[in-house]
Amino acid sequence: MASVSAPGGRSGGKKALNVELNLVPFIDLLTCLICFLLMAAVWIQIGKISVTQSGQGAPQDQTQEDRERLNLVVAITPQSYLVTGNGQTIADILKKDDKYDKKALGQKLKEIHGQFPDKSDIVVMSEDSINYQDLIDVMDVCLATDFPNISVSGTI
Amino acid sequence: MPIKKPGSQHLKSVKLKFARAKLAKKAGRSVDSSLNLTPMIDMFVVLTIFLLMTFSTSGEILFIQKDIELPSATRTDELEQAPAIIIGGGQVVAEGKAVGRMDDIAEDENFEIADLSEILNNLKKQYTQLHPNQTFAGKIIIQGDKTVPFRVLKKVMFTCTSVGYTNINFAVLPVGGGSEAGGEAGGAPAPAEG
Repeated sequence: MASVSAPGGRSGGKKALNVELNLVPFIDLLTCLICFLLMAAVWIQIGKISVTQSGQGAPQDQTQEDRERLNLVVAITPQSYLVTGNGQTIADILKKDDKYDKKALGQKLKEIHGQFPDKSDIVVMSEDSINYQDLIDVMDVCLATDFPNISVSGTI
Repeated sequence: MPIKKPGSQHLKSVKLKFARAKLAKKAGRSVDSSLNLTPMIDMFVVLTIFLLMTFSTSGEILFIQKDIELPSATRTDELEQAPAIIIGGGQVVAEGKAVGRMDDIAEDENFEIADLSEILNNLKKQYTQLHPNQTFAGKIIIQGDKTVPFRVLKKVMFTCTSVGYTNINFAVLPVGGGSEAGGEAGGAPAPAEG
């Protein structure tokens, strides 16, 4: 066990230099700490995606600047992602192998962000039948392409 | 070869009494023995360091129900304490109380869920009474199953916003590291962060 012994040399006649450390309090402390940490441990990490609901607040008078700004919308339809800006269709990204093409949406949004670097808001629209996971996927792509202010709207 | 008479056998000659006495004498010796505790302490130290590294000060905010599978996302923020609405398992639950079946809510033409609205109003009142000097942040967590249709979700969101809970947080399972847009955004989910 834990002990300290003097290296070689004179051994006869002298008092032994072996020292036994008392490890019991240390083990007690470690055991208590482990019990506490095991009880307080969070095994499943949960994150969040913050959104606002689109169309909240009283309508404000639009300024010239507001009118010139791009009103970017990603609509999720059962067949495709429809990216529109100020009502004009920018891209219609169809499903591939019955799966939404998140990669193409990411590239398109990145391209748009390159043209409008100050833009940080985006509206995600969805049809009623769309699953929650598909909605989260679009929000995830929006966050990844530097559009952190996400609004969700239900009307297409 | 001549046949010899076998000599005296050793075991036969040992008397039982003698053997017992011998064994008793052996057992009577010192039973002190030092355990080698070094590997155990090593293991304890490693375990403590691991648990300290994964320790979360915020604790467990959401209790995940077994019939709810959260959607996964790569870009997530840390979840904060807020009232939670659970959508899954065929019903909508707010603060432990069921406010309606998902099918009924989906078919209902009214956008606002009356029971949910009442519960949220009460929560808001409680908050303003308990924290008179603080502004109401309007934070709410929506913990929904990944298969929940948007039809139900939008009604829950509408009800939350109409009551004043405008800061809506969707609870998601973080997967992988933050990936570049258009790169791994469509990739397979990696194991959850520990």
